Amino acid sequence: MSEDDRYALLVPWYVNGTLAPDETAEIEEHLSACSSCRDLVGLARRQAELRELDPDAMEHPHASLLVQYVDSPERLDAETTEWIEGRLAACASCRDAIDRLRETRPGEESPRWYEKLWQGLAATALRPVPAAAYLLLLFVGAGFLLTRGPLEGDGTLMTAPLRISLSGDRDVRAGQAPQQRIAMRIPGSAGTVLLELETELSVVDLQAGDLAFVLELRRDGELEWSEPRDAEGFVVRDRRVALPVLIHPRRLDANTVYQIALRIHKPGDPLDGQALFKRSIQIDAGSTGSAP
Amino acid sequence: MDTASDADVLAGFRTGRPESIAVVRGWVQSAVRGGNWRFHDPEGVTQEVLLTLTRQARADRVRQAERFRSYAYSVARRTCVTVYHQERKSRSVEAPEAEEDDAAATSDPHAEVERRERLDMTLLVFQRLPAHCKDLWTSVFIDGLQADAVGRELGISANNVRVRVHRCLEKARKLYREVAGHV
Repeated sequence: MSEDDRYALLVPWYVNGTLAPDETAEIEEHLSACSSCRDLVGLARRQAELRELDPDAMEHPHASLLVQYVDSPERLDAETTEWIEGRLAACASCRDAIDRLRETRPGEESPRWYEKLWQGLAATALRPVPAAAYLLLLFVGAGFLLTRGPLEGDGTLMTAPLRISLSGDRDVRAGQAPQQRIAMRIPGSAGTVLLELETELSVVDLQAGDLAFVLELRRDGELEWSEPRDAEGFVVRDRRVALPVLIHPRRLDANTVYQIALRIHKPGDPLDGQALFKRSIQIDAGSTGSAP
Repeated sequence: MDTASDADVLAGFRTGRPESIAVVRGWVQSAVRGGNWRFHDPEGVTQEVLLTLTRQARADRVRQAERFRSYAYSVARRTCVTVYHQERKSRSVEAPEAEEDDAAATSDPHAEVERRERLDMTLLVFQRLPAHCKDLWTSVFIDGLQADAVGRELGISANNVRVRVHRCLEKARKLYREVAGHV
């Protein structure tokens, strides 16, 4: 082994400060004359900077790795790929980031609103229904619109609905008394509105298959309408479980606050009646709606 | 401008030509807005990406001018992932208060930005090292153990530990060159 090799082996221990004093003095004398070892010290010092990082940051795959994993996985070696996949299994935000990266690959335009709507409809319980059947439903649905309640869950459409995502009330999730904050003002002139009620359910909860639900519409605490729902009606949206619900604002009273709630329906079980979603909406008499 | 080559756009972007900046901004915005990221401040993310691209372009670190669009898109997507993690963490109920941006507080913000970029590259290299090197790095550079102590943990001699760490350091050197080539 050459002198340079001997000192090269000592560099990491010089950098982490664990060399004996005489060894430290010896290597420092060598460094004054050896540029190759000085480069190695610089490299080792960069590794030591890892101490400055938040341990949490070390556990998330680096953004570049996630992008490579999606865009050009062939450039990653098998061990790195396996490490990334292990981290993805444990990190929900990493999985979400991957989903978002996949939505737009390099060179692709982001989907237009009608493409997103189609993707949303295709993810509902009507997934297996072919395009021709959709047209049939549109024709038949015209009759239903005149006779059914203000909330629909079966995707009957006359025109492309206004699509609104609505997250659940944090206070409800925390078990506190629900506030009367209006989550969304919906234009009374809208033909149909597709509300996606974002729940706290996980995909695992749905897959367990032992839950049933009831969707309610109340006004001033009085029940106006309710309908059962099962797990089939839910969609997974950005790794959150949401229930798409079509509403017909023209059948509701303008300038009136309604409460939409989704509850567990499991008689005899402690979970029965527990609200998974509860927000207030108001139908505006005007032509434009907005979030308050 | 749509028909200008990537190399032309890069040259214009480097010198601050408005039409080139507009083209690059369009590329970046398609990445920031296209992935349903739901950023609190998408324009802020766009600006961050543009600043990164400006620094890289002016430091002549864009290796393949003819693929500048792909490079810009890649930087944008990486930034989106990083910001996404940060925003999710800050939205967490149990997250601590968001820390102040240190770059604004230091006397030399450029040095701070360079330090962060260097740290970011070191993290990337670390994550690409084989598992046994990552374990050694933790023992040597994070826990600061002596060679004897690491050897005892692994059941090997101190000299064997030194050889393994040296080999991992050479792997890291090779990865730095590779990563710098693709940055």
